[in-house]
Amino acid sequence: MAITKVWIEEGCIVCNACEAECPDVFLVTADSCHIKADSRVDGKQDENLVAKSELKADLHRSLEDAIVAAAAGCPVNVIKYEQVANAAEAPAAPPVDAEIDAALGKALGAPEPAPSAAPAPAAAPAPAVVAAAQAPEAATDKPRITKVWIEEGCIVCNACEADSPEVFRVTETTCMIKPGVRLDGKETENRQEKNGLKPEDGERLMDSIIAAAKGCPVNVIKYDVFGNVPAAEEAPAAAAADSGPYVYDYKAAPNRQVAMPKTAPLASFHAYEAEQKALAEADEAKWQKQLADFETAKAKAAAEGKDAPKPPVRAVPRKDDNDLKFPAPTDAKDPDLLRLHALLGDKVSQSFEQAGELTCQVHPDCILETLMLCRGDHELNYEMLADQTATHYPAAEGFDFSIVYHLTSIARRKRLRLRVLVKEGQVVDSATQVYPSANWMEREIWDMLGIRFENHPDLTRILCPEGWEGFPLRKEYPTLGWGQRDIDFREDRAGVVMRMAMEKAGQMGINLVVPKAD
Amino acid sequence: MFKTEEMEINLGPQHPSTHGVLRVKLRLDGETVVKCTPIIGYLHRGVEKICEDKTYFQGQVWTDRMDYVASVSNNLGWAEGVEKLFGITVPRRAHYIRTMLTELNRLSSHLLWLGTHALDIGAMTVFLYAFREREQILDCFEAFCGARLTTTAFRIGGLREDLPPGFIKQVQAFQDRFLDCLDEYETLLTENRIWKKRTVGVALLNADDAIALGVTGPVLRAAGNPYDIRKAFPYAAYAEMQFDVPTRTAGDTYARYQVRLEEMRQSHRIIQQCVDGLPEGPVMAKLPKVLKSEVNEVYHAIEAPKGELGYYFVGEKGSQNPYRMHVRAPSFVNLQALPKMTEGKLLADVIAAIGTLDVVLGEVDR
Repeated sequence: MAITKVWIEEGCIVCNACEAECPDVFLVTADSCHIKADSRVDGKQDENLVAKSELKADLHRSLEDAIVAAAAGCPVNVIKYEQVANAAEAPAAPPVDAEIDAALGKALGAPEPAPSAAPAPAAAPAPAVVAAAQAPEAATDKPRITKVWIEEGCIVCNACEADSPEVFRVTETTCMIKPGVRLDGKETENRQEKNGLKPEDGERLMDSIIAAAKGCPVNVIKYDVFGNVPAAEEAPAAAAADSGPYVYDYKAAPNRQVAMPKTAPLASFHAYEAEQKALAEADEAKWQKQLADFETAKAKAAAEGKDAPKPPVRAVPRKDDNDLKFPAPTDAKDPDLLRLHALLGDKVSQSFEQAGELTCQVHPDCILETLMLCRGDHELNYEMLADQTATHYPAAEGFDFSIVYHLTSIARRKRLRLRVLVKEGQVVDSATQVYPSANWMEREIWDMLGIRFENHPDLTRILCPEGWEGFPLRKEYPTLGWGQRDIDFREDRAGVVMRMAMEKAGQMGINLVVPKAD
Repeated sequence: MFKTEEMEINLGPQHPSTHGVLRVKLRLDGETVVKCTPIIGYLHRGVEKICEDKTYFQGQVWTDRMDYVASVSNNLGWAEGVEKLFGITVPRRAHYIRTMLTELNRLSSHLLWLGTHALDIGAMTVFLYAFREREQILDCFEAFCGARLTTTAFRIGGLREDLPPGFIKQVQAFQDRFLDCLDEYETLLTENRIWKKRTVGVALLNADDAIALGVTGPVLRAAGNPYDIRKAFPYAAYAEMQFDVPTRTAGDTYARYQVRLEEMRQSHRIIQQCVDGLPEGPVMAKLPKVLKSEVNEVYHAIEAPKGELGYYFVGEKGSQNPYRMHVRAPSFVNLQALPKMTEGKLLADVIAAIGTLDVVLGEVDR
């Protein structure tokens, strides 16, 4: 297999995904995405939608995986490419020398070389066009959903999107069947046209579509089934609903899961020392050599009666200019992190630098000891706890929360982040004994995330009122409220909503006028 | 034989001197405060939770509503924090304009503090003078971004638009008369006997206590510690600016007044340098329309008018929303020092202490 052509159809959202996957071919500018000039035969740089120029032949195979990945990763599926099915019959590597020879020969009036020397691309077998999104036809004998549509009366409640985000998209006013799963690739309610689902999607997403149709509060999601429907399983949502109004099953809608903040392996202190020593020695040796060279040059100049050469200047090691272009974590080389590592030993589980910030992750049992060291140790001397906060990671293995402490050394102009990972229900030592400023911050963490701190002077809710249910910054706490709902009394056939509204208004002393039906 | 009894009263939440909805539970022995307990949360909107559901571009709008008298500073912290998360480099001209607007905002915030603080203590006139100049600054903001308070002045990667025509002239007109205005305030207050009686030696907080309680900004500098993030960890264009960090050692309300007035002079200097040295060039970095982050944590702090304003972001791989956003609000942390400053003192000094801490409840409660 080899890719001969690649182009970008209309609809690019300029998201940079393709450039990240395959920087050799794609170049994302401020308003569009281009196929790079130096990867194309015609040497132009645009979307290549009209020209469909070929890729340079040496890139056909080397970049195949990257281009396929870029096309698959494109969120709007506008990257298309042409793939030659048989690699053996693909055009051979570019006969660059032969071309140059031919051009030279032409210029010199020599006869053109025989076409067999450089097989023209036209001689290759007709390339099979493979659209990126198209997959081979799935086996049709398995049970699958052939059509899904939404009838009138959708209340735009988002329930279907939560159940089956690949099929449904809920907009401000209505709910659509996504183009990615439809045969015609349109995005509508599919009410009139009743367009079919792609067979492989219909099979794969069968359970989720059935769940969405069951979960629809107004039952407007309809579908056609081919084959036997599997026995409907009891929805796990029922169990979740018992545990209270503010809890939804996080694992069932795993659209926001972060397993872990980014980390890097801990640097070995000895390896670092050896590296630093070697660097210093190399630097010293270079300097000695420069001095020796200068002496010989001076002696030579004096012997020849010329002006003495300039004495050498020792290069000062370049200071890092705090470049923020690489937020990727790097090994810990900062003296503070190494000092902490030397003092605490195995209790440090990770330490690294990222975006110019130092992070040190320690075992939760020794956080008090670490804070005391950070404040008291004469080399560390972090006087102030600037900030303390926590994050909920329900998808993580082995822990549920990370608590971070941002320490500031005012005298040394330095910041350090300490991090501990704790489990649900685990009690952490309060930092108030070392840094009194932790008082309100820990109250806020308890209030917002429900982590308890031991030996805290007054661990009560601070922002929410006493007696509030739930911990708002946990991930299972809903991000969106129910929103403002406009009640149309004319739709309220049974009059339930209207009666409730009138009662409420009566209690509040408001004289509510009932709208007349048309 | 008189029987004495301690009395508990509530100051606020609806009290003109608490600048919003701060409730302070006071246990009094006569007029002396025995115990002071600030109770907050009346303005809690859950900004941190809301921002988890907004993209990085949308979330900035919420920062306006935290410290609503210094929204440009809040915008700057957000924009720079996100830029740090994605490794975006902002053009130099944008840095200069951001610095200029942030310093103008510091002036407007300090002017509001000066006016209301003096009003609390009993000097009515200063309020009118201070708001006259603040109005002129807000007109500059309006010319720049169309809003006076909730500015959303910056975009991630730079600015949405370059400066409007005539903006520099407008700022220069303000600059030309502002130093005289500052002298005018000083004639009203600095040697005023009543003002000094109400402020000198009132609401003391020494540097060690301030650092232990995490207090930053002018309150810390008035206690003698010259910690200013603009100098200690320079951001925006502050590394290129010439300015001094004013400090006093007294650590009382009068020292904080002096520090803030001197800070306004320094802000004036910085704005003048921005106006004079404004570089040419683009104001927006090249960046994709859809920002998507790797999992990554970043803490970015700036020197807001009230102190250290820090933004803590946790990105999420492939998501346009922050996984977690936390604001280290200077007012929230500074307010912790209120009991330390007022216990054992007189009730009337609590009003001075609240004013001198310069808290904005929108930021305390978020």
